[in-house]
Amino acid sequence: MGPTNVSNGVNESNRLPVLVVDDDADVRQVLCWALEDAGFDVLTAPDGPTAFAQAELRPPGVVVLDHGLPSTDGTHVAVGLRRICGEHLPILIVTADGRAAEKAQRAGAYAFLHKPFDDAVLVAAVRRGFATS
Amino acid sequence: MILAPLGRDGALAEQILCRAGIHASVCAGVTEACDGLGGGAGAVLLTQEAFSLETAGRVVDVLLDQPTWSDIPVVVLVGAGVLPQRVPYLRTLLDAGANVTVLERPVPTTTLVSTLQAALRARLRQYQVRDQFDAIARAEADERRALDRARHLQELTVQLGLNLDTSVLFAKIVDAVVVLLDVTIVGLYLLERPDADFESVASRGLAPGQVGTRLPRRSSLAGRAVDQRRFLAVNNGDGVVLPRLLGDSPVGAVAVAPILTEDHQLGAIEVYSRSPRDWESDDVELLTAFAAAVAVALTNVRHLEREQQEIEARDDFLAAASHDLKNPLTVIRGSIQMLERTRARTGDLPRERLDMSIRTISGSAARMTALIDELLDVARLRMGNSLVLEKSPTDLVALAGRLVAIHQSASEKHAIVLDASVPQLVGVWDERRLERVLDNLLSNAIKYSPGGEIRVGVGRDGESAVLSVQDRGIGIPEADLPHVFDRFRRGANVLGRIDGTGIGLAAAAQIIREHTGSIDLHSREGEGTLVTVRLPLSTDLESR
Repeated sequence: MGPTNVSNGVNESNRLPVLVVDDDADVRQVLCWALEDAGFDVLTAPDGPTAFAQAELRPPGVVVLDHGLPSTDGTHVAVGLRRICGEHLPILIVTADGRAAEKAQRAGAYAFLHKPFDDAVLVAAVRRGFATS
Repeated sequence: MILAPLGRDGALAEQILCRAGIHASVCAGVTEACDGLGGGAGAVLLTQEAFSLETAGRVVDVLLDQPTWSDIPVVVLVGAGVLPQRVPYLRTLLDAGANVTVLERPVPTTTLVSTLQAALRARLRQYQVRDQFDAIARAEADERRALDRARHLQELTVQLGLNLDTSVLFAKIVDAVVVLLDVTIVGLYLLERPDADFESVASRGLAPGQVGTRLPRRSSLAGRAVDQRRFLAVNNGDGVVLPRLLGDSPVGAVAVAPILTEDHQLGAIEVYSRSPRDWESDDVELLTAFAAAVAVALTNVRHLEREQQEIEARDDFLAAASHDLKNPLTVIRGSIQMLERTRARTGDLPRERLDMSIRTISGSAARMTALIDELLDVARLRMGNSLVLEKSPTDLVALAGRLVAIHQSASEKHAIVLDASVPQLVGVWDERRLERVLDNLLSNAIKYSPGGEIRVGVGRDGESAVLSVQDRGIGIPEADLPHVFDRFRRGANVLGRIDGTGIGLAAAAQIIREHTGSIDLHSREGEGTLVTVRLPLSTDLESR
C-alpha cells in the first residue's frame, strides 16, 4: 500500500477509499454521509464476501468494520481483508455492544467506536487511520 | 457316626449298626477320627478304652474343645470289670462332664443299638440348637450389615447433594455404587429425552471409551427397567444389549435400577458381574434406594444448570437487545448530524437529503418502537402474564406481502417468494404482533441460510389460516428440536457463530398460542427449516 495523502475534506481523485462494512443499510447510509461530507471516497458492503470483492476491485485505505455481522464474524472479515490488502490495513471497529475493546484487539484494529457515535469523532478516527497507514 | 479304632470289633459293630439303619464308618486311625470329629463329620463317637495315653489325649482334646451348642455323645466299650474311673482319659472326660456312656463287654446287640439310637437323638437335638444359634447370628449380621449400608447410603446421598458439577456428580454416583454393593463394574446411563437412547456418562470397570457411547432405548435391559419402573436383573446377558467389559470378557450377570422421578425418566444404573449371580433382596433394595437419591441429585443439578443457562441467556439477550437498539439510534443521530452539517455549510437543506433523513429517522424510530414492544412482551411473559391481544380484521396476504418486501429489500442474496393461494385472507387477529411473528420467522430464515430461496406460504385450510416460512438453510440439529420454542434457546450449530437473542421463536409461539393457533417446526440439519403457523379464522372481535 502506497502513502496516502488526505487533508481536511479536499477531494483527490487518486486517493484510496474508505470501505464501510455494516449489515444495517441505514447505518451504512449515515456513515456514508458523514465520511463523504468530510471528503472521503466511500465504498460500502453489507457482509464479508461483498467486502472482499470490493477490496479486490479497489483496495481501501481504511476499513470501518461493524463487528456484529451476520454469518461472518468481524474478526474473520478483518483477516480476509488483510489477506487481500496487506497486513497493515488500518481497521476501525464500530460496535453496539460493550465488548468493543476486546473485539478491536482480536481484529487487530487501530481504534474502536461505540454506536451511536458523533460524526466528528468518526471522521477524526478515520483520518488517524489514514495517517497510520 | 464315627467308629474310632475298635480293632476287629470295628467291622462287626459297623455290620450290626448298618442292619439297624445307622450309618457308620470305621476310621483307620485316631488321627482320622479326630479330624472327622473336629470337622463335624460324625454325630456320635463309638470307641473303646484301650488307647495309648497319647492317642487318648488327642481324642480328649477334640471332645473338650467343642462349640457351645455341641456335646458329642461318646459311647465307650470297656472290658469286663474295667472301672471307667480307672481309665485315665475316661476319667478326664467324665470329670469334665463330657457326654460319655460306658458299656461293659460283652454288650448285647440290642443294648448297643438302643444306646447309640439314644445318643443320635441327643445329637440331633444339638444340631437343632446349632441351627437356631446360626439363624440368630445370621439375622444379627444381616441387621448389622443393613444398618451399615443404610448409614452408608445416607452418607453417600448427602454427598451427592453437595455436588453442583455434573461430571463430578456422575463419577461420585458410580463410585458410590461400587462401595455400596461391593461390586467392581458399574455404568451410569442417562436419557436426554424419554425416547432418546441412553448415553453412558460414567463407568467403572467397563472397557475404555465406553463413556459417550449409547445403549438403545428400547432393546436394552435399562430401557425395560425404566419402562417397568423397577429393578431388573438377568444372567448371561440373555437377549439384552450390554457394554463391553474391561478385557472384553463376557458379562455373567447384570442388574439395573431405573433412575426416575414421579414424572421423569432420567436414566439407569447398571451393575455387572463377570459370573452369573443372584442379587440378594437387600442389594435390590439398596440399589433402588440409591437410584432414587440419584434422581433427586440429578434433578437438582439440572435445575441449577438450567437456571444458570437462563441467566446467561438473559444477559446475552439484554446485550443483544441493547445492540439492536443502538443501530437505529446511530441512524437517527447520524441523520440529524448530517442535516445540521449540511445547513451549517450551505445555509440550506436540499430536498433530497431532507427526504432521505426523514425516511431513515422514521424507519429507525419504528424499529425501536417495535423492539421496545417486543421487549415489553418478553417482560410480561417472563412475569407469567399473558399478552393483551389487540385484535382487528387483518388481511394475512397483505401482511405477508409487506414483510416479504421489507426483508427482500434488505437482502440481495435471498429470493423471498410469497406464495399465496388466495388473493385475500382476513381474520380477526393482532396485526402488529402477527407482523412481529412473521418478522421473526423471516429474520431467522435469512440469518440461518447463506442464500437461496425463502418461500412464504399463505393459504386456507378449513377454518384455519395457514402461514408458512420455508428456507434451505443450515437447519436445526435433531437434539435441539424439542427446545426450539424454549425461551433464550439457540441451536448448538449456531452458538457463537451467529448473533441473535434466541427470544424470537419463544415469543412467536406465545403470540400464536394466545391467538388459540398452533406453530410447528420441521427441520433437518443441513437441509433447512419449515415453520407452519395455523390461526383460527374466527370473527370474534373481543380482545383477550
